[in-house]
Amino acid sequence: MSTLSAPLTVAVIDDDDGLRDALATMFDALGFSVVGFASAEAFQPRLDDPTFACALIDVRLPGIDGMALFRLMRDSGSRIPVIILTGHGDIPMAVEALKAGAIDFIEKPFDPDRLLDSVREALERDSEVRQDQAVAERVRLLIGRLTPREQEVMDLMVVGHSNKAIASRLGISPRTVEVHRARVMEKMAARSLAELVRMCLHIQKEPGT
Amino acid sequence: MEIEASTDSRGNGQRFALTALFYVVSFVILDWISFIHPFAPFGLKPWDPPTALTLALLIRLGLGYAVVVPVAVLLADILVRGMPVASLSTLLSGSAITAVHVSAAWILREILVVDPRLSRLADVVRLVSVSLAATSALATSVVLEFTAAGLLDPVDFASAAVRSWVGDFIGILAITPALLVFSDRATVVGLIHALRNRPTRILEAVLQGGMILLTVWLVFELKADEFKFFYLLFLPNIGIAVRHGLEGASASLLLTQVGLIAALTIQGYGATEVVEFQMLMLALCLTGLFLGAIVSERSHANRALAENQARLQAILDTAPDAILTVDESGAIETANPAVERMFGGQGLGQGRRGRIAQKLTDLLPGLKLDAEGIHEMHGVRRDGTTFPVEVTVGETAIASQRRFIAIARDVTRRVEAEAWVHQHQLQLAHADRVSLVGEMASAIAHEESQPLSAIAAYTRACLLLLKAPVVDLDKVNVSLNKVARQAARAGEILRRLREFLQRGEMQPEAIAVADLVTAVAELARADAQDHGIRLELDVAPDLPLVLADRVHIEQVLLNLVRNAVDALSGQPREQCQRAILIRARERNSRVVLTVHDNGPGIDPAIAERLFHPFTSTKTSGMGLGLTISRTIIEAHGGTLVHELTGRPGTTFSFDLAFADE
Repeated sequence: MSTLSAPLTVAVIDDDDGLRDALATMFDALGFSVVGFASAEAFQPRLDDPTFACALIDVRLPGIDGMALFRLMRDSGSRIPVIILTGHGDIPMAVEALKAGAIDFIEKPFDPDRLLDSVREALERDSEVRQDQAVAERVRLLIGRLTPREQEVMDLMVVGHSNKAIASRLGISPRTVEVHRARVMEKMAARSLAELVRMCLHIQKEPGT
Repeated sequence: MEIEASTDSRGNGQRFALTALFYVVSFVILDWISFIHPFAPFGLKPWDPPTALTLALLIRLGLGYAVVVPVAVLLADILVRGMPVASLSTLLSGSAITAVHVSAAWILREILVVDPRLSRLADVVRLVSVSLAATSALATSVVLEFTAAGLLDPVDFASAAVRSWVGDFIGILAITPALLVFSDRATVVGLIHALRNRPTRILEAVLQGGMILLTVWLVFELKADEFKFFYLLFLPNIGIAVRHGLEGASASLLLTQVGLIAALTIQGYGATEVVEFQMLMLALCLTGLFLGAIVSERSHANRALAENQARLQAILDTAPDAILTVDESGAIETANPAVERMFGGQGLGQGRRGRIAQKLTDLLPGLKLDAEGIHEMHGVRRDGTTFPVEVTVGETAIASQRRFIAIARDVTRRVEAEAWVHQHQLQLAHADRVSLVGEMASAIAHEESQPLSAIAAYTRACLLLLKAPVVDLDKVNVSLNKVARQAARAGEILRRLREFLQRGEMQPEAIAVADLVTAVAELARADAQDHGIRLELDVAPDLPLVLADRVHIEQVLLNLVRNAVDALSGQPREQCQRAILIRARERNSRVVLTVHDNGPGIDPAIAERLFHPFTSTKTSGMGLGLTISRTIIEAHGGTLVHELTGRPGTTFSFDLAFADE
């Protein structure tokens, strides 16, 4: 198992009570906490709940079926990694699911190892995502402490301009630019320009910055 | 008429010219031949074949030839009678003759629509009547002209008129019918055919002709009072008319007339005697023609009747079913060949005329003649063996006497096929069950994968738990118990399937309806869920046990449910909750089970054939589901019906008897 700090929560959406309980038992033995849902409708209110590290969805559900639920999650921007379980072997459906971004499409009865591998992959991806998010949060926080002028300077710094260039751009003296640079590095807690650049890239990766 | 129908106008023209020429030439020749005993130089002859020729031409070939008539008359007047070319009387007589002939022909063709072949008595009568009027008019007008022209003494008016009239009328009666009859291609062809078939007929014709001439000679040889002996000529003529109809009569009359004239000429009789003989000839002609026409008509009728008869007989001979006519007492009158084939044996005689058996009941014992409709019973063959038949009896009246028609169909094959189906019912029912399961295979496989997946998960959990530094045996225990339960569940599904697919006789036993319904719901649930269809059960509490073979009744219910699933899965999901309801109620001392779905219902066109084999709207399956289901329920003493409730959706129901009956 990869290094994980807090107990992760897995959502299991399947109308078969026995199977839900069995999966819960298995994940529990691995140290996960599991929340079960008997239908897509029951899960819907929490379909983008960040507490879930992963969702196991059975294709066959009463009411809205598993694939429809998966699409709903995509459409609403939910980032929970999804693994689809099915009792039928349906290649077109598998292809559609994988193209749409599911982690895996597993047939029942499944090999527990395969399921666990997929879950691990889901969790890793999830943790990567979470880490990215955390870093981006921190960077935004730090940027928030800069003054508007300091922000302007930083923007030009990370692009690679020299102090002179920055000075002429902004219409201030090179000396002033040096002062701003120092302040930026201090506030951003960056030890080098390279690190500062990386920090800014983190934010750029996120949509909507 | 044949000429008028031709489309080749050039050929038409040629034919017209040729015919006209032939006519004119014949006219002149005939006029010359018959130019005997004229009364004064004006040629009012007691025998006038040209008139007959003209009338025949116009009747047979149409009024178009009217233009040629005056030409012929004129030519004859000039060449034969030596009349002055441009005299008024010549012209007048020519036009008068033409006018009368054309009118007569027109009346006969257009108004009275006489058949040129003179096929009916009515045609002959019309010809005679119109000719009488025409010749009277002709005689009168011609004689009038001559008198007016001063060529004739008014004193001789009457005798001249009579002579002219007799000549024309006799000419027509003796010659025109023969011309009309023998100018018909079909008649001539038929005649040649008949002669070729029986060469003795030629001999007969020659003899008959000879007899006529002999008689004529005899009449005149006997010298004394030939008028009296003239009646001898009636004998051969009547004989020929009776034997050969109008064709024979017209020919013999022509021959008689020719013979008579020849004899009169040879003997050198005067004009007055000739006229007297012609009067006798008149009587002979009328007799011969009418008699001949009647005989011809009758023989045509007989021939048509015989043809019809032959046709009907052919139908009876070919019919595969046995057709018999029977009198009131049940005695067989006629039987078609199929009777012999069907009721078999030797010495039964010709199918048509021999008696197969005396009475109908010898062949079909117990058959009541009054009972109309179709009866299923047994027929008895000659050798005593029996076989299944379907008999239809109808009553009719022939010659105002009660008669019965019995038609029997050998249904051995059909009965055997039905028995085969019945015998193989069990096999068919089994095949249907296999088919049903096959249709649900995918859903059933899915069902089975659930407990198996749970088992896999639980056992993995147990393994993980056992690797922990501190093993929680309680949890392991709980999980293993659950494994066992899931294993049992998996086994249960298979057990139900195996039971459902078993072969074997029907074994009725006392069953609780609720169990039946539950079992079917188990089998069908996966399938229904796959299609997003809700399955509802509504079993009345405290229903009495029913007497039934469990597997077969489950099969019936499952068939109905599967049909409902198929019907509903065609509908789009979103419209409304698609549901199937299985209901069990008590009604009229029986338990009634109903399967209802809220689908599109059944098309009335298909509804009639629902229970017929191989009727199916599905692409899979054998199309026998409902047929077999109905057979099963009927074997249980119940009925399976498609109910027309008037409400939307489809409802099927069947009933079962209580177990304690």
